[in-house]
Amino acid sequence: MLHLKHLEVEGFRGFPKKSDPFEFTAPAVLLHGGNHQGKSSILNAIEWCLYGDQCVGQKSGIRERVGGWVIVNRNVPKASVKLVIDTDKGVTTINRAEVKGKGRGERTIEVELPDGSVKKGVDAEKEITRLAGLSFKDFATTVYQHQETIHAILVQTPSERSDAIDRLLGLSDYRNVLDGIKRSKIADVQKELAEQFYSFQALVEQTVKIRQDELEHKKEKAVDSGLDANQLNEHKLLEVASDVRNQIGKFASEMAITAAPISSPANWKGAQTFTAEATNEIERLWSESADVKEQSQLNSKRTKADTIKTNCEQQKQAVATAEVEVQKFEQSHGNQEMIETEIRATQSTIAAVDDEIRQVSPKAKLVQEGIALLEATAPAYGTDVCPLCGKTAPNLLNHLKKEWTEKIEWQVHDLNTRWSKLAERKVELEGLKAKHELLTVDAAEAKEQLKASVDKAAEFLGKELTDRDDPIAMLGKEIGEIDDRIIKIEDAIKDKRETLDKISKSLNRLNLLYEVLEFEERISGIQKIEDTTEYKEQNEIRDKVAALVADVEKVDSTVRECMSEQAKNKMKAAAGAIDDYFQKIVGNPAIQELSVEIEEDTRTGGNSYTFRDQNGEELNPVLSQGDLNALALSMFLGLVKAYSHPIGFIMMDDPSQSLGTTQKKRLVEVMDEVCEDRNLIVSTMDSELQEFLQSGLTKAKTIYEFSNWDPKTGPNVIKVV
Amino acid sequence: MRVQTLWNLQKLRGKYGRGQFGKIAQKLLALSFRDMGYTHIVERSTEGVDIDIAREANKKFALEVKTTDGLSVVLSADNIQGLRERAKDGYLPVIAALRLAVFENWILAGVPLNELPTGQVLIDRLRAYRMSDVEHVLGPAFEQVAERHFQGTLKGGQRYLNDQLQQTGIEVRDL
Repeated sequence: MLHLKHLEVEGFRGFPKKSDPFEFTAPAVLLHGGNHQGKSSILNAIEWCLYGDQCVGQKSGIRERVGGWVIVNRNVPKASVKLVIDTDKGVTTINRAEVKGKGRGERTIEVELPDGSVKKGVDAEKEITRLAGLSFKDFATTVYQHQETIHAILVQTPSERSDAIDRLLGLSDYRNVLDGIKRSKIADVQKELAEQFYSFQALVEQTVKIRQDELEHKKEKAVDSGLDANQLNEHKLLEVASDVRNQIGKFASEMAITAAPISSPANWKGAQTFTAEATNEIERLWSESADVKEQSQLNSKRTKADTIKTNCEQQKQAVATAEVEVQKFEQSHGNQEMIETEIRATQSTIAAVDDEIRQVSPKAKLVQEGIALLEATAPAYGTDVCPLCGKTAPNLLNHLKKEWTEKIEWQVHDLNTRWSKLAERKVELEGLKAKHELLTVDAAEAKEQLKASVDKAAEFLGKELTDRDDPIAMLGKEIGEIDDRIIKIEDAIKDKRETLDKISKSLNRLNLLYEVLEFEERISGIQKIEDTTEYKEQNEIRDKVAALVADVEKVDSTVRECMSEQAKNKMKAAAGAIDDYFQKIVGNPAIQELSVEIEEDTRTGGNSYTFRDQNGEELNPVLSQGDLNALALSMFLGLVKAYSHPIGFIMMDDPSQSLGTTQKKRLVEVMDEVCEDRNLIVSTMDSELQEFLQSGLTKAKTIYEFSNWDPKTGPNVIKVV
Repeated sequence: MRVQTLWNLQKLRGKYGRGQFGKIAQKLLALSFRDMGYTHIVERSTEGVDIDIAREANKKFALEVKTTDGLSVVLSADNIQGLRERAKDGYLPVIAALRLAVFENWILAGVPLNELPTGQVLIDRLRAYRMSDVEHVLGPAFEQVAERHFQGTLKGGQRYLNDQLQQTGIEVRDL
C-alpha cells in the first residue's frame, strides 16, 4: 500500500517560495486556515506529483481546471514538487518540475527508487503508475474528494447535479464522448446535405416542368396540323419524310423535270437536313417550270407596258395643259405680233409727247434730267458738282429744283402726266411679251417629252407610230392581251400549286414532329445527370454520411449503455456504504433508507440520478443543502469503502461546505471510522470542523495552520503537534 | 427513376390524392417484386406490414412502404411493431421509401430490428441500411411495371391493381 511520508513544494501554485517539508506519516493530517491560504495547493501538489498532466485541463474531468489552471506560481519561473512515499518495496522519492515557457513549458519527472536507482521521463511515469496502482479517474473519485464535487452537487440544477454525480463516479470520459457527439451535430449536417440535394432536385424539376409545358404546346400544334396524338414518334416522322420524298418525285415527274436525289433521314434527328433539302428542291422545281417561267416574263412585260402607258398619258396631259395656257393668254392679251405692234405704237407716242414738251419749254427735259442725275449721284459727288462736266456749281441741285418748280413745271404738267402713263403702258406690254414667250417655250417642251414617251411606246410595241396612231390606246390593248395570257397560265399552274401546298403541309408536320421529339430528348437528357460522375459521387457521399451517422448513433447508444451500466454497478457496490454514511451524517429519522435510481437522461445524454427513501418517495426535492453535502460525502466515502485500492490515504478538501454543527460532528465520526483503514488528509477553513476533528478523531494527528498568505512569499505555515 | 415514370406517378397522385397514392405505389411495388422473381408475395392494404416477399428460405423480407415529397417519412410505433411481428416468422424488416422527385428511386433499408427508428425519419438516414443489390434490380423493374400499368391504374385505381396482383398470383389481404 502506498503511504505518503512527506512533501516539499516550491513555485507550485500558492507556494512561490520553497516550503518546509510537510509530514504525512500521522494517520490524520489536518490542514487548517482561511480561504486562499495555500491548503488546497498542498493537496494539488500531491495529486500533480503522482499524475502530472493527467490532472490538468479538460482531460482531468474537473471543470475548474479547464483553461487557466496554472501549475507554476505567477511570480516564479519554475514549479517543483518533491514527494516521498512509502510502499511495500521501500521509500521512493518523486521529483516533478515544470518551467514556464510557451504553452505548458518544459516538464521533468524523476523517480528515485528504494535501491537508489533513478528513473526519468516516460520510465519515471510508468514507475509511478505501477506504484500508485490506480488510474487518475479512480484516484479522483476514491482518493481525492475535490471541493468541486460537493460544490457542484450543492448548487447546480438537477441535470447538472446528475452530471456532477457522473463525474463523482468517474464517468466524465463517457460524458465527454456524448458531449462531443452532441456538439458535432452530425445529424444536422446530414439533413443539410439532403436539403441541398433536394434544392437541386427542385431546380431540375422546375426546368423539367417548363420543358414539359413547351412540349405539350408543341404536341397540341402537331395534333392541330392533323397528326394523331398517339403517333407523335420517330416512326411517324420517318413515314412523313418518306411521303414528302414521294410527293416531290411525283411533282417533278408531272413537270417533266428530273428530280434531284433527296436522302431520307435515318432517324428523327435527320429531319432538319431533310427539310432543308426538300425545300430547296421544291423551289428549284417550281422555278424551272415552263408555265412559271412564262408567268414571270408576262408579269415583267405587263409592268413595263403599264409604266410606258402611264408616262404617255401624263405627257399628253401636260401638252394639253400648256396649250390651254397659251390660248387663254392670247385671248386676254393678244398674240406675240399684236403685243409687239402695240409696243412700237406706244414708243412713237412717247416720242411725240417729248417733242411737245420741248416745244413748250426747251429746258424742261434738260432740267428734269439734271435733277434726276444729281439726286442719283449725290452720295458720290455731292449736290454742288456737275456730274457731266465736273465743274463746281454751289447749290446746283437746289437751283435746278427751284428752276423746275417756279419756272417750268406749270408749263409742262399735263404733258408730263401723259408721258408717264405711256411709259407705264410700254413696260406692261414688254412684260406680257416675255410671259407669252415663256408659255410658248413650256408648250414646246411638253410636246418634246410626249414625243419621247411615244417613241418608247413605239419601241415597246415594235412599230413606228405616226400622228394618226394613239399610242395610249395601243398600249392598253397590249396590256389587256398580257392579262388574258396571265390568267390562262394561272389556271394551268393552279394544280401544281395545290400539289406544292400539300408538300408544304407535310413538311410542316415533319417539323412539328421533329420539335416534339427534340423536346422529348431534351427532357430525357436531364435524366443523364444521373449517369454523371459528379452525381454518382454525391450519392456515394450521401451513403457514406448515412453510414457515419448510423455508426455515430451506435457509438452514442453504446456509450450511454456503458455509462449507465457502470454507474449502476458502482452505485450497487457502494450502495450499502453510501446509505450507511448518509444515515450517520444526516441523522434524519424520516430517512431510514437511501436508495438511488439511475436512468438515462434523454436531454443531456448522461445518467439521471433519483434518490428515494425507504418508501420509494423521491428525496431530491426535499433534501436540504446540508443533506446534499452529506449525500456527496457519503457517495465519495462509500466509493472509497467499496473499492479496495493500493493508495493508503484519502484527501478531503473543504468537506463541510453546508453542513450544520451536528452534521459536522457526525461527519468526523464517519471520518474516524474511515481512518481505521486509511490515513486521512483533510483541508478545511471551517474552524468548527477543525475543532471536531482535533477532538473527535481518535488517531494521531499532525496539524498545519496556514495564515498570512502573501503573493511573493506564500503562506505562513506552522506545524502543530 | 425516369422523368416519364415520375410524371406518371405524379399524375396518379394528382388523381387519387396522397392517401390512395401510397397504396397504389405499394401495389406497383408488389408487382415489381413479382417481376423480379419473388415467388411468395403478400400485399396488405390495412393491417400489418405492407408487403411480405420471399424467394428462397433465406430471402424473406417484410416491407413497410412509405412515399413522400419531403425530407422524411413517418414511421409509427404500429409500423415498427408490424415489422417485429413478421420478424418472428423469419422475415427481415425492410423500410421501402420513395421520394417523389427527379433522380429518386426506391430505397430499401434493411434496418436491424433493434435499430428501427420511429417518428420522423430522414430518408437519407435510411441510406445507411440500403440493400443496394435488390435496389439495383428493383429500379428498372418498377419503371416497367409503372409504365405497363399506368393507363389501367389511371382508369381503375386500386381495384385495377388488385386484379393485376391477383392475376399474377400475389395474395392480396384486407380487400
